[in-house]
Order: sequence, then C-alpha cells, then structure tokens
Amino acid sequence: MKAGGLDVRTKLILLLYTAIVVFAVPKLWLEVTMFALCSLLHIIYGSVRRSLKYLVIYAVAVAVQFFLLPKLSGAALMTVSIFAVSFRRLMPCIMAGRLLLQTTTASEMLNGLQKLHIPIEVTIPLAVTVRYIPAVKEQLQHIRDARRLRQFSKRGGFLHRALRSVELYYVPLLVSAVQMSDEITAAAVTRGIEDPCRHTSALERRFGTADYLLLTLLAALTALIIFTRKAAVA
Amino acid sequence: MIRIQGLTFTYPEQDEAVLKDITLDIGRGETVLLCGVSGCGKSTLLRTINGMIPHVTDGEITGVVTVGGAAVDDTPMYELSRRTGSVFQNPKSQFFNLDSDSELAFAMENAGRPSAEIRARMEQLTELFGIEHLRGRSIYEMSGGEKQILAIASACMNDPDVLVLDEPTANLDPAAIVTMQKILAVLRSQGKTIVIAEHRLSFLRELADTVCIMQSGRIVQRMSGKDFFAINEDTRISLGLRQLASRPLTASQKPARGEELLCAKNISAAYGKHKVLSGLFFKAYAGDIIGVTGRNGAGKSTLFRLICGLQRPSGGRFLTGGKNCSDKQLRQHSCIVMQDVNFQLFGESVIDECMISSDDADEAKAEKVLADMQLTKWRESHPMALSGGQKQRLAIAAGLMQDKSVYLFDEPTSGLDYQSMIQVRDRIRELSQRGKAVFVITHDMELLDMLCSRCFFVHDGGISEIYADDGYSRVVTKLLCG
Repeated sequence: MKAGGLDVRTKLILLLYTAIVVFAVPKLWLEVTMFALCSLLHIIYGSVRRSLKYLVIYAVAVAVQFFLLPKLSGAALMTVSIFAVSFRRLMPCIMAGRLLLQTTTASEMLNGLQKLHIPIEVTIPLAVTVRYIPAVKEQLQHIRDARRLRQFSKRGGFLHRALRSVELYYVPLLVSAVQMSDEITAAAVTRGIEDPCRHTSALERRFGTADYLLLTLLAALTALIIFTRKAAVA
Repeated sequence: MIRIQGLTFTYPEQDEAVLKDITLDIGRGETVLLCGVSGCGKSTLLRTINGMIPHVTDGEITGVVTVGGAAVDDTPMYELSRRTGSVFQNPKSQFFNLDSDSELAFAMENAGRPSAEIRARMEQLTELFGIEHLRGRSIYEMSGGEKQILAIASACMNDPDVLVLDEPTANLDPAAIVTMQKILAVLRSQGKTIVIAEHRLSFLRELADTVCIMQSGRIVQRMSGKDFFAINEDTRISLGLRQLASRPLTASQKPARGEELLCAKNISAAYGKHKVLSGLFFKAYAGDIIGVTGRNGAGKSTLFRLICGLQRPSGGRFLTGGKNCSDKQLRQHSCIVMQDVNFQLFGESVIDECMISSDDADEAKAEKVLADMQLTKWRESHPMALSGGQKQRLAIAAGLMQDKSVYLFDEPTSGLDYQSMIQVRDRIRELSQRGKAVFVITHDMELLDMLCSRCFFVHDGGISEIYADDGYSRVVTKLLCG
C-alpha cells in the first residue's frame, strides 16, 4: 500500500487502450511506442530487470521480422511469424496487464472498480481470481517437485505424453483451487467485503499529476494516429 | 453475548447432522474453548456463530443463534462481520490482500470508514499487539506465525465484541504459539468474547474460562477451564484430546541402527548469492526416525529439497552406500509426503496410483503394498475421494512401490487430533521397522517426543543435533523462544 503511483482507473484505461490500439491500428511505430511507454512505467515502478528482459525479447522479435522473415517461406514462415509478429504484438498488452496486477492491491482494485460503478457481483469474483493467481505459482512448484520424485513412465507418443502431462497438473491444481477459493472467499466475506456501502481506502486516492500526464499522453497519441491516417488518405 | 438454542445443522447431501441440538450460552468477556476429535462439529459450530452458516454455506438448519441480541440468520453477513472477527486455520489462504497494511485496513474499508480513522486504528492496534515488524510487509515474506498474528489483528480492526478462532495454531511453531497466547490474553483482558476451536490445548491453560468437549455433534461436557486442565491422562486420551501440558518422554524409542543409507558431506545450499545452509554433515541409517525442527524460514524445507534431490547443493556431496550420489539418484531413493498431499497424487484410481510410475509395475506387489497400507478396500476409488489420512497412506504406498529407502514427511500431523496423530506415528514407525530412514519436519512437539529417535534443530544456516533424555520438546521450545 504505497502512496503515490497511478490510480487503478488509469491503469485500466492504459490496458484497454493498449489492447485496442495495437490491434486496431497495426503500425509498427505505434506498437513500439506503446511498448516503450509500458516499459518506462515498469521501470519507474522499479522492476528494471524484468523490463530489460522484455526489451531484449522484443528487439529480437523486431529484428527477426526485418531480417529473417523475408528469407523464409512456407511452413517455416508461418511458424516464425506467429512468434515474431503475432506474439510480439501481444507484448505491450501483457506489460500493461502486468502493471495493473503487480502494482494494484485487491482493495485498490475493488475501490477503483466501484468508482467506475461496476456492480459488486462482478468485482468480487474478479478480485478473488486476481488474488488466486500468485498462489497458483506456488502450487505448480509443489506439483512439479512431486512429479520429479515419481519418474513417470515414458510410454506413448509425443502427443499422448503431452496430454498426460497436462492432466497430471490440472487434477491436483483443480482440487486445491476449489479449496483455496473457498477459503479466500471465507476470509473476504468475514471481513465484510459484501457491504453495500461505499468502500473507502486507508490512503485516499485521487487522480494525481501522474494520472493526468499519462491520460494526456494517450490523448495526444490518439490525435497523432488520426492525423497520420488523414495524411495517408490525403 | 452468544446464545445458541436447540441448534441442529446438516450439510447438504449428508444424512447425519454435524450439530445435534446444541444449546450454549456464552457470556460477555468469556473465553470458551471447543475441543474434541476431528469431525466432532467444533468448526461447524464456529461457522454458525460468525454467520458463514447459513449465509455462505448451505445446509439444513434448525434452532436459533444470536450474537449480541441479533439473530445470525436475519442479519446480513457484512453486518455480522463487524460484530464478529474470524480467524481461520490456514495461514496461506486467509488473506484477501497481498500486503499486511492493506489486509489490516481491509475490514474497515469495506465498512466505509473514513481514511483518517482507519489509519488511526491501524496505529492503535499495531501498538497494542506489538506488531511494528509486520507493517508494510508482503504476505509471501511472512512466516506462518506472523500471518496468524496479522490475521487476528485484521479481525480486530472493526473492534468486534466477539472473536472466533478455528484452530489458529495448527501450523505454528512453539515460539509463535507463545506470541499467540500473549495476544489472546490482551484481547481477553479487553473484555472480548473469544470462542476458539483447537486441538493443541496446552497454550490455553491460563486463558480458557470454559471448556466444551464435543463428540459427534453434541456438547457432551461443559466445565471450567480449571477443572478441565486438571483431568488425568487416561481421561484425556479416552476423549481423544492432545496433551494438556508438555510432559517428559514416557519411553525411550531408540530403534536399532541398521546400515548407513545416506551421508551428507559438507553440504551447502544457496538461492543465487543468498546462502541458506552451509557445512552440513549428517548420516541417516536404516530404521532412523529423524525429527527436523526450527523456526519458519530457517531452511527446513531447503534441507528436504536437498535430501531428495530436488535442489542441487551449492557445495558438498551426498553418499549412498558409500558411493557418490547424483541428485537424480537421490530422487530415485526418496519419497516426500507433502503437507498438502493433494499435489502428489496423480492416478485415476488407488491401484492406478501404484502402477502409474513404471511400465513393468508388478500388480501382485501393488496389492501387497495396498494391503499393508490398509487401502485394499478403496482399490478402485479416485485418490481425491479419499480422506486426508488415506491420501497420506497412498503417497507412502507409491513410494514403497518404487522401493524407495528415504521417506520425508512435511508436517504430517498439523491440525490432527490425538487418534489421527497416533496413526501417523504408527505408520512412520512401521516404515522404520521396514528398514527405511525417515525424516519428519514438525512443529508438533507431542509427535516429536513420541516418535523421533533423533532431532535436528535447523538454525543460522546449519543444523544442530539435539540430545535430550527427557524429551526434545522442552529443549526445542527453549531454543525457539530464547
């Protein structure tokens, strides 16, 4: 619960904006701009290393598009372009999503969504889901450990083994997910999450300079997109 | 404060009622301990007081429960939540937020209190509970004990009159239990009405005004705390209850030492640059039962991961039968029974669980192993449909199928009543008699004293072997609290 930083609504708008713009206007400069903007925000929030990792992956994907793709054809072209182009285009959205999830507490999220007049029937399940995600990581580790100690049979073809592998993960995960979500729900309900009154926040958050700055930037970007389109048509 | 009259409750799709005609009056400021074997209905009774039943959990209910004069079933859940604070058993899943400050603020935020008031209350509780060290922390960096204290503090934010706690110490080490005891004493002195369901009893000796003993859905005895803690050992055991006080070792359980199964030579472990353990030397023999204890985060789990080859040591080596042993070989030799055994059962049926690991699995052998583990009756059942104890036995069966020689148990008795604990103890003894080496991570001092032939205390990046003729628990408790 750190003071300062962006309002949850701004982060939501950023996520939506990124998703819409990157797919509706397939221009590389725009995609790069959105990627740079999200990276910058991650760096400001302090996760420098991860941003650099993403940056390298992104740069490689762009390089592949320009230097490798023109030399390929057929199935190879298809496969490589899925990773280098389609997946790369998702990256700004993933980063905007990560920003939202990693820097927003559950109560901030509930608060922000309530201010946007989204009904409590939607926000509570959403918040429970978001809360559950980090727990999955821990549980997957346990399952992986258990599997490594069991040395399963290597019978069957690749597909058979892959399917079997998925099955081995999801049954235990599902069982614990049901139990865990029950327990998280109990915790939330006994702390009054269903209270219909307007929820408050220990640190009252209002739109700050950072929020206005970012929204202005997005507005300017929109103007630029429209301008370049008009210019192209003319 | 709390009045329960003629309460009967049945969970959906069950024939037998979990609570049968319960009548109980709890006065303002009274501390009540509910005890009894697993499944006696004590957790369910708590859920009828905090309103989870009938507001969240369905079922057939008759009778009346009132808290502070208001009928629980007529009062909306969010209003009940301001009156009654709840603390649950599992420290991992009773938080809605991922940092301590947000969690503290959460209940008051939901009640729509002004921010200045929330912050003032947070400061007040921080001082009252002495939890400055817990503020501004990520939930994932906190130990089980710290999480439970935070859970109590969060439950007290709205200053409720009533506090219900469902086995709050199930996962705690002795030092954390002492802290919990102090905090409950503070709340009791403030005149809170406290209802607590527990298996671990000794820490409540000075706290419980009233004790209700429950058996299959009924309160069979209600007595003062003073009378309860004076009952003799035979009565205690016949009621299926855990020890009322730590006591000296009853009998020596040093099993004969067989051949050397595992030898650690100067083992160390690190995560990146952060050294967790270093300079470990130890040996495990056939028949050994080694207790592993220490504070949360001391490196007990890392030690387990090293022993069974899930983590490569950053230095040193393991030997088996006098020969160097790779981590892959360690994995072939060892079997972990995890605290949450759900993560390690993969089969479609109990018999499949035994056969799944190898192509040439011997069905006759599987039948034999299942018979030994008393699972033949459930041969065709899905592993997830088994009870907790049966799942644990199945995990052992899978290890026996692969002829593993080293067995590691992670907190096998957390939240278990006396009988179930005794069953776990006997199962582990049986492994030892089969010539296996067993390691047991545990905070359960009763189990430690009853079961282990040796005890490793993990601290400051190393392990010390504890020698104690009159039981480990006293030494361990002293080390943890001192």
